[in-house]
Amino acid sequence: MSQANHTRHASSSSVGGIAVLPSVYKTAAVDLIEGARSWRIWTVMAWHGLRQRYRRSWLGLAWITLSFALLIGVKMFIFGALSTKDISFFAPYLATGYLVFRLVSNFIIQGAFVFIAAQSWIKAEPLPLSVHLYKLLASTFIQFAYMAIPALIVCIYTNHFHAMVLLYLPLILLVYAINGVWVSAIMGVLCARHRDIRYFVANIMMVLYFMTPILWVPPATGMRAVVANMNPLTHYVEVLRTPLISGTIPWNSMAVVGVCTLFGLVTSFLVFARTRKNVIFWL
Amino acid sequence: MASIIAENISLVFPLVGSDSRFGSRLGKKNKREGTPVGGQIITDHGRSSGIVALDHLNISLKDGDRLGIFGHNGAGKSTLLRVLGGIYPPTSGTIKIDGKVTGMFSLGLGINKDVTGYENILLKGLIYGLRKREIQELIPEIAEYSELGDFLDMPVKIYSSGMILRLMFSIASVMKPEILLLDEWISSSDKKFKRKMDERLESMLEVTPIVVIASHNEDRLYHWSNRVITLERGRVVPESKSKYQPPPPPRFRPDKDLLNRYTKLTNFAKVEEALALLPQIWPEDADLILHQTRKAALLMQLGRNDEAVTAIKKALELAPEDARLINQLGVVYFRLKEYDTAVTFLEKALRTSEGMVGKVELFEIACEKAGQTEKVDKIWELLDEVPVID
Repeated sequence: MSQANHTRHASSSSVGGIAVLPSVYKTAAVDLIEGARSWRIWTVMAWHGLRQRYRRSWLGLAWITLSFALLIGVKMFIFGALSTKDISFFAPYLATGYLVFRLVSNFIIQGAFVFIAAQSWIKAEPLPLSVHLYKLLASTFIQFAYMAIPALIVCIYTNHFHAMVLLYLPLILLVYAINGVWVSAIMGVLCARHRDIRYFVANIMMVLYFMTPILWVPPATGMRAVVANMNPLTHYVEVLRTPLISGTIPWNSMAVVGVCTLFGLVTSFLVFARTRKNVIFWL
Repeated sequence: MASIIAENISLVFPLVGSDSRFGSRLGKKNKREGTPVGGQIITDHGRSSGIVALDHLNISLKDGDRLGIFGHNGAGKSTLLRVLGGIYPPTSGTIKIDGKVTGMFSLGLGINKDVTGYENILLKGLIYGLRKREIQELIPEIAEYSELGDFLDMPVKIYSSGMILRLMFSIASVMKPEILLLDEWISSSDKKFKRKMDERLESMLEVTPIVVIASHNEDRLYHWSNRVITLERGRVVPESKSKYQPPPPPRFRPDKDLLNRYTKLTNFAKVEEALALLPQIWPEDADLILHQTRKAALLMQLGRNDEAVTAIKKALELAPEDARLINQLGVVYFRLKEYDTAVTFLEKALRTSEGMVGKVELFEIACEKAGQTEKVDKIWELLDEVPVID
């Protein structure tokens, strides 16, 4: 159990910077592993959080499915008419694109609050800090599953469901999960320390939503093609959307996502390891 | 074996973001004088940058230690408790904690107010390292002990603070930690539950290897601890400078082997033999009160109540105000069916200890038998009983 036999060493100021480095990273790694092993705790926390959001409503968690269906329905109706693409392609394109975007934006926006929202637990129980990251991960994936239902129905109905996606769905979900953890870790730490960031991020996400090809299909060349390609979120969307609705593997996007994941993971781990000890004092 | 070793720990609460503006009036003044409340504020370029909550403390605890932390508001008691529990990492120094920790730090923290009492029991149990099945087995005990009844099915946000205390204490008390950390809020409950808590605490103190209690009530601290430190602005006040009385001198320490034999005898109801051994363990001249109380207890088991009365009265000559002795005397008279006398002593014990010593239930029966039922209400008035939820 996490409480048992844990040691907390504080870096004494007299110790040289380099000598301190390994222990900080080691304890951060232990935190991440111990946190993952406490899955019994964070899965229950995630369920409690979601259920509480829909408590006293008759439909409960079905509201996630319903509101997502409503949103993509309206968007198909309005933007489908504006798009030059056929609705039987545009509908699943929009539905799956928006599905992934919601997953990613949930990690970023909720990640900003991940430690602030958990401060009552952080100040009361000596749990690994990463428990709260995994709780967000679980909660986001539960919501993702509920939102995936209407998106899949649209894909199947328009004959754009390629079963081959099931082969690497586990891999892609794992990649999303890893990204979810590093994004929420770095966002959680930064936003606990600098409270202005989260307002900034909420605004940026609105901009990113329009810059990501969800409501529009990027042309082969031109300014919009550049915007789509430069935006890493495009590639995060494509790695799931393209195999699902077109049955082809977007190697280019796969590579971008791979590089982003690796880069993000390393950066986030460095930040998390060096600030982990201070997070409780910033809450 | 559980242990906590804290070497030279200091803790500075940083003031970050716009919080640091608050201290800008302090200017370059580095020390605040004239108040023992709160820690020292560190300033940096005219802005406050942190508060020193703990200042170079050394604490080492091992099995059997009951540490009391005494101090003013803001002296660092709660902070130290949280550091010992592994919540706050010290800014400098090292701390090593071995053993399963249960902390009761603050009422509002460590509980999800949006979910029900049952769901919180589940969550807390999981955090303490239990499996779902084990928690299910504990739930009846928690439900009965907390007396919360149907409220356990309600979200915690509708609970009163006393009810939250009942829930949290009930959960923590069944978890069997190796290290128990208690903050002073444990005293904020209605008197009836406080009595229950005190009883449970006494039994937890016996079985928990390490206990640390922070409080600004010295009487309770000295009652519960075998070591008390006084904190002032995050530092330990040296004992000579401490304004507060040192703990009472240790009682006569009986021989360990003899004591073990004695405990075994009493456990196996060999009362006669235990009685014979008694003068060797607590000789009359070494610790008269303890000798006579034990003797009286054994005599009562043998039904020799008259002799028990004599024993207790002997001890009472030395300590006429000892509520435990008075209560014991009341119980003997109750056994002797001298209910009027029993009522007098039982009442006196309850009154002098404000309900800490004695059983109200026994007093009620005694009053009934003696035909003095009007006294029952008066005792409840004294105990400030708040109606308990059915």
